[in-house]
Amino acid sequence: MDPLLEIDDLSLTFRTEKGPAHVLDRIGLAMAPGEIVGLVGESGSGKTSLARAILGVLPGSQAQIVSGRIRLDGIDMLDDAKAARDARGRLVTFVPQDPFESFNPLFRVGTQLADIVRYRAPPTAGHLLGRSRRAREAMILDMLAAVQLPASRDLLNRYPHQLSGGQRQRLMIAMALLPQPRLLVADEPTAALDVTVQVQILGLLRRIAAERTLAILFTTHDLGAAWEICDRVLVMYAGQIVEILPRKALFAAARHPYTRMLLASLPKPGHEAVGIPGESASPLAPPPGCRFNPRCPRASRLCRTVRPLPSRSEEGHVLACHHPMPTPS
Amino acid sequence: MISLIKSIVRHRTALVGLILLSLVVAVAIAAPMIVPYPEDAQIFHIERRLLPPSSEALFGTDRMGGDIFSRVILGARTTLLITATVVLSGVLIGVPIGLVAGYYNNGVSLMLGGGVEILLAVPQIILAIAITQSLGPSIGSVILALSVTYWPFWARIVFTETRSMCHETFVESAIALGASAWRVIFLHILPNIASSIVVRTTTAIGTTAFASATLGFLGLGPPPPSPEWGRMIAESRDYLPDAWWYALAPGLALLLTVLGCTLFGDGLRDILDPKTRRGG
Amino acid sequence: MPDASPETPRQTHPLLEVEHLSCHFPIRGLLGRRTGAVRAVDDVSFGVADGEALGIVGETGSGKSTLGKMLGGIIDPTAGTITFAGERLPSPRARRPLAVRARLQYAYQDSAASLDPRWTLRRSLHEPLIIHTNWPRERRDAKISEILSAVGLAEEHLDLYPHELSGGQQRRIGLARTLVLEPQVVIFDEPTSGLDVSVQATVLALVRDLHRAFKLTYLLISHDLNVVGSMCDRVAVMQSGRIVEVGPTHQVFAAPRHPYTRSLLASLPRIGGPRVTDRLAVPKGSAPFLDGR
Repeated sequence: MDPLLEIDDLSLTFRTEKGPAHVLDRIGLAMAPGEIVGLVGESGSGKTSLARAILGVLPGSQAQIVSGRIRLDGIDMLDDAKAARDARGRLVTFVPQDPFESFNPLFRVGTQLADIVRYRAPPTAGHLLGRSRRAREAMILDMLAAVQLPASRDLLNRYPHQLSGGQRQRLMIAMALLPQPRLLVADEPTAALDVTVQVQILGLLRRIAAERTLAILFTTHDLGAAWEICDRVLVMYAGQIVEILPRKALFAAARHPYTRMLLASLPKPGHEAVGIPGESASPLAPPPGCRFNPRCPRASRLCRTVRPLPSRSEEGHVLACHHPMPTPS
Repeated sequence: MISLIKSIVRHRTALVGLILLSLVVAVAIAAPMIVPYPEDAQIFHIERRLLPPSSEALFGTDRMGGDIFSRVILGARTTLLITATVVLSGVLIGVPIGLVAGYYNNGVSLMLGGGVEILLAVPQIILAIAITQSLGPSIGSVILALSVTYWPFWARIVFTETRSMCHETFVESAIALGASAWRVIFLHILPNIASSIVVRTTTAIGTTAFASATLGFLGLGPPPPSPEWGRMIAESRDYLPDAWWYALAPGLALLLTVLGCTLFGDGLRDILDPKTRRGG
Repeated sequence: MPDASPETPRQTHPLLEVEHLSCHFPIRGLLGRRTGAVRAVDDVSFGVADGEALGIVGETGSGKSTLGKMLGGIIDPTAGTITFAGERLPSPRARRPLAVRARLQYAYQDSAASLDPRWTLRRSLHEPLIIHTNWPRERRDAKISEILSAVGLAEEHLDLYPHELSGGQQRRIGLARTLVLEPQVVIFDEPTSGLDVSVQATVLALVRDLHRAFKLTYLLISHDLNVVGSMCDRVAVMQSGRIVEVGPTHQVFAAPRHPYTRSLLASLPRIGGPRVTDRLAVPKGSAPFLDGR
């Protein structure tokens, strides 16, 4: 099967007052249709910049793509400006972290959903002049059922502030699904939610991905959330990919020292997590070689000079490390 | 401090404002040394009455034969004296009242806040006219009238800023730690709202200079023959349009003073904005 | 100084005891008429023994933060009493004695915001000592150096402003400012929210070390069951202003009795274990979702 999303050798720099910030360093990733990939990293890892690069919403005046390409369903998203513009909001849509700020507080949510149907949803046969009001409403009510909200007009007549956090996030997902995209980019969609709501939203996203063969790129700093939803997990540190693991391997077979230390940092009842000493590498002056080397207990001279290239094993486990940890038995 | 000067120099509006304002202040201070006819403040020269601008009298002469250039420069001193005293007393009365009313949330603060609102509801200049009218025209009564009517401006801005500061976590935490009201108000709140006070004061200098000229124009300022911009403009009305130069110099002086303050105040507002400059 | 405290009858009374504590916020209708009340905290009672670590866990709107602020003397309770070291604390909070404020402290969630943005960290750290002691400057400096190394920061940090620190460093300075008065009880309100896990773990490890080194009694308020589970001896679960379950941490985690506690624990992702989302993610009328395609 052809990959839906292909990212090759993508490097991205931001112009800042203090000089260029090397935000992404030679990122490579391929996503199959219907696959859920978790983009896991801490602040400054570049996960949000990568998501924005795919969405094509990088700040144009500051961002500079140094190398690489992004292909979505055969469309070159960086070079073919017109095709990329058409793909955005149709082929690929977005679920933000804070659903409250993403709704216009002055309009009823129903109006905002209807606008999406009118301007973004793909046309259907026999509706050359667009859908009727009734057809649009039926489509929206169907979508409410799909995101497990009561399919009622009452809900559509409310304003964003009259909804709970979980309801807003469900509506945001409904809005992202209306154009019938093939890729959904979700930027920490559950970070602001309580655990009981988070688990429901994650379950909903998994179910939608399976029902619609929708690929989801899910950025998160929460390994637990990644475990709950992803098929594969991509671990980033300071703009570099350190490891890509099938979900099952995340706990059992992580080999990069950073991934291991990140897992060991998770608080658990009866377990005293230690954390990773030191500060995250600055994108303004990233350390040469592997960017994790100043904080890595296994770092050697090689790590400080030569960047480890990602190597791929048979199980689809990608690892970028000169001195990986032994596979736990 | 050095960084503040640097940002003023970089901010063109602020720089122009500061230059204008410094020019007016410098001229006022150095007036006795630079005026060509210092005695024209008091003595009439009827024979030189209403002469157009020339090399001898740069801005012409007035109805009493006084050199307008000299009188405008000497008038700057009057304006500056009034403005400085009024602004200073406005800060000294308004800021403490605003701080106390904003920090405490009790009957006294409610009374102070309400009093300030009532004073601000009355048009300032009308109140000032009433006061100078009953005291008789003199520099002293102008200063008194403007001081009494202008301090609520400071009180109100300090009141609002203090109220919002009280909701800041670091103020709340200092109070929870047991810091005295004195400590919280003067060490935490005042330094954090100082920039708003400075900006307000800069703009207020212009407004006050204008108000003092207004009182002079209405004949409520210092009595003749002492030089005052507002009265000079008032006198010129009888001789317009023939003696077109009569109102030009005092009008320009007033314009430049107010403009300088407004520009400098606007610039300072940008430069001191806590969103762009924190902590430093 | 804080350590000049009257002897507490340890065995008989808890160090900090809360009885029937409530905080109701009025809802005002037209013309400021009182139309109802939000019961942020509703009739809460519990005790904390000397040296104990109690976790308070709950979701948004459970009232856990309001409870912490009442204990820390930032909000006045509507009803109920707080007893600290055998002494009933006065209400309103303004009458709380200075000695109690030093010994019972509230540590803010956002430590950067709890520091004056125009003050250097040195000045902010001196402030509690200036308020509570009459020590000369040298003695204060010595104390600050001691605390600074205890929280793992260097002397150079003292000349910086709060916004110039990283998130983890800000929490450390917040801890230092709290601990400089050697409190007996500290209320930590979401001490690691907004931090990366690797940094969170270092901050939590620090709190644990300080707990052991200074015999610190603490209340840890958090929405994160895992954080509370790893940090506390006992845990109280709050829901809509009430404590629904309280008990030793291992017991609450292993055998929760209240349905709400059960649903909270059931929602926790367990890496390596069965996925909670499995039961939610099965599509309608199709085969169960196949894992790891």
